[in-house]
Amino acid sequence: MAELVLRDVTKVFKGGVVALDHVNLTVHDGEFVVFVGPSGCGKSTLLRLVAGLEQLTSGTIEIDGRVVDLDPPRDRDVAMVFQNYALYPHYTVAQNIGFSLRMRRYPKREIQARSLETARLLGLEALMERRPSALSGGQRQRVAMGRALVRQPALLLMDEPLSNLDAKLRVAMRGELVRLHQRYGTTTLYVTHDQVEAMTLGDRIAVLDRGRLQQVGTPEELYRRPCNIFVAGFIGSPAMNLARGRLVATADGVDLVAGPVRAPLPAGWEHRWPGLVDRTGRDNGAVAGGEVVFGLRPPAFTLVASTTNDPSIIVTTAVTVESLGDEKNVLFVPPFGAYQPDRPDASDAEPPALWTARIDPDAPVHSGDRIALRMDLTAAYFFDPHTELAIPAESPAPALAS
Amino acid sequence: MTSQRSAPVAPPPPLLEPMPVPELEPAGTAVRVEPRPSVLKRLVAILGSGAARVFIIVVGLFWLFPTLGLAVASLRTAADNSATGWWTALTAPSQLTLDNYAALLGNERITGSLWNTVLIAVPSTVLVLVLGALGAYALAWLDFRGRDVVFVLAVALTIVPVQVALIPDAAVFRALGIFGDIPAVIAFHVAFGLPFAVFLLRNYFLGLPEDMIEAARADGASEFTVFRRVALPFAWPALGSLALFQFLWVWNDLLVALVFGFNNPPITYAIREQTRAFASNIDVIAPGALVSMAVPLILFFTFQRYFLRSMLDGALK
Repeated sequence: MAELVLRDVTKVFKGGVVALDHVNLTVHDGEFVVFVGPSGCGKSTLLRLVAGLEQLTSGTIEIDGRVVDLDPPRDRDVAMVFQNYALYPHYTVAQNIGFSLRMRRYPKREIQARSLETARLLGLEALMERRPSALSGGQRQRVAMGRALVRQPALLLMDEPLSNLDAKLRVAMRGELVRLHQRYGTTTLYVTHDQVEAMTLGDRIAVLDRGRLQQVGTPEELYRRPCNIFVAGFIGSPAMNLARGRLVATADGVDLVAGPVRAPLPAGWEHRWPGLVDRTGRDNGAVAGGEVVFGLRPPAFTLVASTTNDPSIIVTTAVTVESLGDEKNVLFVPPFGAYQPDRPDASDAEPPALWTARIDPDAPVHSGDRIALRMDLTAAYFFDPHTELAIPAESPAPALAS
Repeated sequence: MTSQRSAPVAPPPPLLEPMPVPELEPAGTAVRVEPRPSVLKRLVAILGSGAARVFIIVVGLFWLFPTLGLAVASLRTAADNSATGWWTALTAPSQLTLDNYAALLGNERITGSLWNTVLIAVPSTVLVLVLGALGAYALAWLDFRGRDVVFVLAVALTIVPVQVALIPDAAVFRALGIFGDIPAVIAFHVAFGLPFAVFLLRNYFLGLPEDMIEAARADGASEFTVFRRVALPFAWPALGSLALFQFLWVWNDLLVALVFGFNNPPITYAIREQTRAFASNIDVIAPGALVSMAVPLILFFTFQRYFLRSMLDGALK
């Protein structure tokens, strides 16, 4: 049970690679915070800094008000679960779980009792005398978990603990993690690149990109109100579709123009996106529309008969159709081109060049078909193309369920 | 969503070049192709063939021949040895006797020097193992300034020949007042054994998974405990072969003993004393050499398992 405060945490590796750049974050007592980001964003480094396995370049780390920057790991009261479990192959399950207690010179009886209790909780009590080599992947994962939980540390750090499990086990262990957290209430930092894990496990999610903290918030907040283009593209699966467009004032409103597509913003747009008013030049009636980046999540499309000559409808070709049973996703090339950031150092979380629309699962669409899609702009997100920051909406976009 | 079926507008343009479909043979007709065996495997196969075995046995016997002669000579009296060659014992086994061994065990100069060899070899080996393992772990897993420089220096030291240090070390040992005594011999052997030990063990420790070391740190282990409980248990094969190397080297050493060990001579020194300018005391040299050989042989056969394993680690996997 502890509060963790990160102040201007910065880590520069030998050779000048900036892994973390002034990260500020407070993790409250008992909170489960998930760090997500593309590989190389610094999320694992952050965990290792908190554990004391790496030294800070600058900034401070406080656990329960105590600055621990210079303390070795054993003085920090943190436990860590590693991606590949890192069990001690020469020890039995019981010895693996009891190791940290032994290091803290607990009496033998208590080590035994506590190890057994933890093992029971994880369903390992029948395997106590086995060595890790005689365990399955899922069992090893549990032992790694048990090793971290047994001494009830102030902070529990988990570095992609489920990524080596098969899909089914991963879902099962995810549920188990929730259960364990509810039982112990240990302040937990969890690193993953799997955003389903992030959304389902985290009280809050912290999105990192290139060493910078982009946004911290509840899963809902991050999904509904992403603060910038990166977070918008990162949170949500399939990812949000993004493109560049212009806002052009017309006689009775404002149109979003992107390539051949010209769609009017829904009525009341000036109340919904007050930030857009300044960007249209509506008052002087000029056509000089402001440039924006707009985003639409896959459910914001409707398949329509394309005979109408409506410029707000996208007519395109289905490149791939992914049928998942109760949902069907169509990947297509938008006629105006998908958004590409203009910074040269963009990380490998490039937005895809294809857009994705979620359509009626019964629709007889096959890859190669010509299709027409209507965009629902009430569910649109807008961003500044230069700062990449969101132009906030007054009320969050409605959660769209197809 | 209402079912708004989209009527296809126009025939779709091809988005991608169609991929060529490989033509498949009917099931079960594929020819099983065994991969060509590796060079090592072929070498083993050649060496395992009958002719090669015979050849190896012949070479082995040829090499054993002098030792056999020494063994037979050790069982004959000095008079017999100077009168006839040792091979005559093969036709007249009655001349064989254990008298030489009895005399040897009564010879305090020899038994004393054998004990001196033990007093030199055991600490030299233990110290090299303990200091080498500690140093190697530090060079492998502790992060400190100048670590790589220290390691490169250690590697560089392995190529320094023993002879260049004899005279400077003699001066150092004289100043310390141990010149001619066992501690001087041990110190010299440890100094020359450590670079290779550090080199071998550091690479061995580096092969351990980093996460396991870090997991132990995160579990609250002190650095020494990580070394002792997590790293060391995996180093036994390397330590075993290193111990064997070092022990054999020290046990059979004559040069260092001659220079630094004259007050407490080890067995090699004592046996050398038995050779004279125009003759030699074969009745002491032969059994003495065999007794001196027995200890390393026993050790080798006891620990060869480790020795072979660490030599072959990684080679056959």
